[in-house]
Amino acid sequence: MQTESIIEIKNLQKKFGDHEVLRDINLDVHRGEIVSIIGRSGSGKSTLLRSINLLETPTSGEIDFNGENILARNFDLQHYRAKVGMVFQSFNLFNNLSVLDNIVVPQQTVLKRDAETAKQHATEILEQMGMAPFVNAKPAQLSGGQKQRVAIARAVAMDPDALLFDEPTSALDPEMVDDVLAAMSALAHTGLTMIIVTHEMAFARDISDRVVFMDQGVIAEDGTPEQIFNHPQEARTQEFLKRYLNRA
Amino acid sequence: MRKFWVMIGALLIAAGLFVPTTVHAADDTFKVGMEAGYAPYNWTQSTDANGAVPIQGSSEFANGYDVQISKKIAKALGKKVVVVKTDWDGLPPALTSGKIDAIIAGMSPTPERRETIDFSNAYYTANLTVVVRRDSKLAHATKLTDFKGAKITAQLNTYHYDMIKQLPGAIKEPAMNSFPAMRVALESGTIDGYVSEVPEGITAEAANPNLKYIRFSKANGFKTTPDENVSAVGLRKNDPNKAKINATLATISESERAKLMKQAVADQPSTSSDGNWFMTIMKQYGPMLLRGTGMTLLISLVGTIVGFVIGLLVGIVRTIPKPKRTSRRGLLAIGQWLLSVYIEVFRGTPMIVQAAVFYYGAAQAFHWNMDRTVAALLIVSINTGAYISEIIRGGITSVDAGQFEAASALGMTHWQTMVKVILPQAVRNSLPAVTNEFIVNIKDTSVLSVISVSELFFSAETIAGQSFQFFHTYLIVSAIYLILTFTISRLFRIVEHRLDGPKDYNVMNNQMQVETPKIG
Repeated sequence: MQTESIIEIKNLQKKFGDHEVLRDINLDVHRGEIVSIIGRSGSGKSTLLRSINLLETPTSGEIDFNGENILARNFDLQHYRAKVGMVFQSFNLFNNLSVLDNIVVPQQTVLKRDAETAKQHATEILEQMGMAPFVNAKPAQLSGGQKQRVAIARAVAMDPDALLFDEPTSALDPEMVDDVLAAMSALAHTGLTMIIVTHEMAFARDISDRVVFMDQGVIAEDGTPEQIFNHPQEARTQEFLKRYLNRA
Repeated sequence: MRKFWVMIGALLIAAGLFVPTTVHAADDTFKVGMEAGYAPYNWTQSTDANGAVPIQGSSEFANGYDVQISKKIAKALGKKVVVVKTDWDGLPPALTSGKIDAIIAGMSPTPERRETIDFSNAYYTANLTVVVRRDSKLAHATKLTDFKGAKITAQLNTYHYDMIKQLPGAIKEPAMNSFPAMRVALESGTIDGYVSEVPEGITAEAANPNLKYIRFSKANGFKTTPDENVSAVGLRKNDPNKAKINATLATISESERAKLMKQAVADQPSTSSDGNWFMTIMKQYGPMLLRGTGMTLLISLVGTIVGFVIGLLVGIVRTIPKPKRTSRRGLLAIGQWLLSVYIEVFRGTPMIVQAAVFYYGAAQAFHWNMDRTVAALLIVSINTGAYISEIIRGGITSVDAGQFEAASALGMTHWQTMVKVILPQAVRNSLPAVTNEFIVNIKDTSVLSVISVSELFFSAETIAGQSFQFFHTYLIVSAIYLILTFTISRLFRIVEHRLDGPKDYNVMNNQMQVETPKIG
């Protein structure tokens, strides 16, 4: 299933002051690929993900999207961000807007879709996410799992080329996690490129084409789920998985 | 959000219609500045009875000795008198800045005043007196030495105040702003007397039976120079009409002057204090109070709304993230620096000073002659804008950072993020503070009396000065202020509740709404 690269990260470094959070990261994500990034808290997973859509500005290195350097001076960042969606740990739904408007407004402002098209598109996606009855609700009236499904719908409605998930289930009560994971699995089968930072090991194993294990700011191991979970080569990967799987 | 902007636009247009368009100095008017609150020289009345003259920018009239003299002068100049009602302290700047053509306000041509403005010959000579309470032992005073230990004051920036030193042993109290204020102070006992001129003393005595003026004999009275105890017409230096005015004044004989003053004393408005005081005041001054209330509401409403819009725009600019290009970054830094200067300057100086500088200063320096209502609206708007900018900035800071990140991650621009996501939340967070600003504006428009805007407090001063019912007038006015502010705070509370919406979401109810077919 090797297709052309959609996101290519070369020698990426990120420092917060003197603290080096990412060290010489090289990662090549192909179109339609599902990549899970696992690792301890503080290993740099989230920073890597946030660097991909420039919520964090890398200190050095290069990130190419479809062969174009996104760090170039005249790069159209707005357009790029519309193509690479993001789902946050804390949902970040727009609190002042209804569920429907959360999904309609970005389509109108960024993609310049007319109200009718945007609304129809939003309704279809909400239907798939099982959130149709809540179109008129405000985010404050929803549970965490419901909020995250709306947030995913908001990202999907932009018809992105790739989606970034930053620990999408970490802020949820256990009984709500499954709904969100189910929604993500459904998306995975549509051929969308997905990069997922997660602590849900079983989910990562089932859904991913590739799993990346990060430790102390570097990619320690990179391989198929089978390789990473069943035959980890690195000692630190083995140690991490042992602790994690025992706990689960 | 769009509805909101349309509403603001409509309100602004409506406000614009209310504002009288700027009247440029037509050549056939003779604009005379006076307090219209210093009977019998000049006062305000609600009809044109006894030859009263309209007051510019209001539907009231001015009359009194000064007005009658103004009419004679205007006639000789071939012009028509328009009275510009101005605070005592505002008179010289109004003249030098060209807002008025002459001061005819019982003003004496003192050497200090002659430094900035010119004077005609005298048009009235008055002896000084001290007004006291009828029931005090000072009521029997006959000579200047009788005032030992008495607390005496006079109007600010008058030679009357300097005359207190001729009362040996008298305690010199701080000078006061107006005669009505001194009468209240005297009646309430905070002072024991004030230095005044005999015609004003006659008025005070006639209007308030508790007051009395001292009839000094010529030998026992104040010693004044010929400059001091006379009133003259204040003019700009090198006014070409000065000779003509002096010639006109020369034709008015001493006996005619006495007759005019006697007539003025007889014509001055008086309010009978018997019967229901509330009804009496409302009947006579109801319309004036209503107009004052309207003006106060207009200025504070427009000021708050425009200030709010300024605050939003400043809020957007002050939170723009650093652009990548160096040139743009420099431009932005300069813009943001200018905005903080604006905020610091307008927050850091009193509105009364801003109004005086803006209205008189602009006229003097650039010959911008703007309508005083327009000036008031501008000042209050710009001043409020500075405060609300900071309120909105606080509101923006209080919005969760995740909201900015989510909008950026979706590809929204700074402007789109602000307008669609951040500002609606920031505004909601700021609403209680904006309500506060509105209420403060309702009350603080009273300082605009310095540029003679006839808002509620200015009307109250006028009414109190005329009716001598200080306590009652201010009681009514405070009730009006309270009703205004209370109504506003309730209205905003309702708006807040509407914005917040219900805490729970009922799926059933919403489905019903969605699925119920439209009938008809």
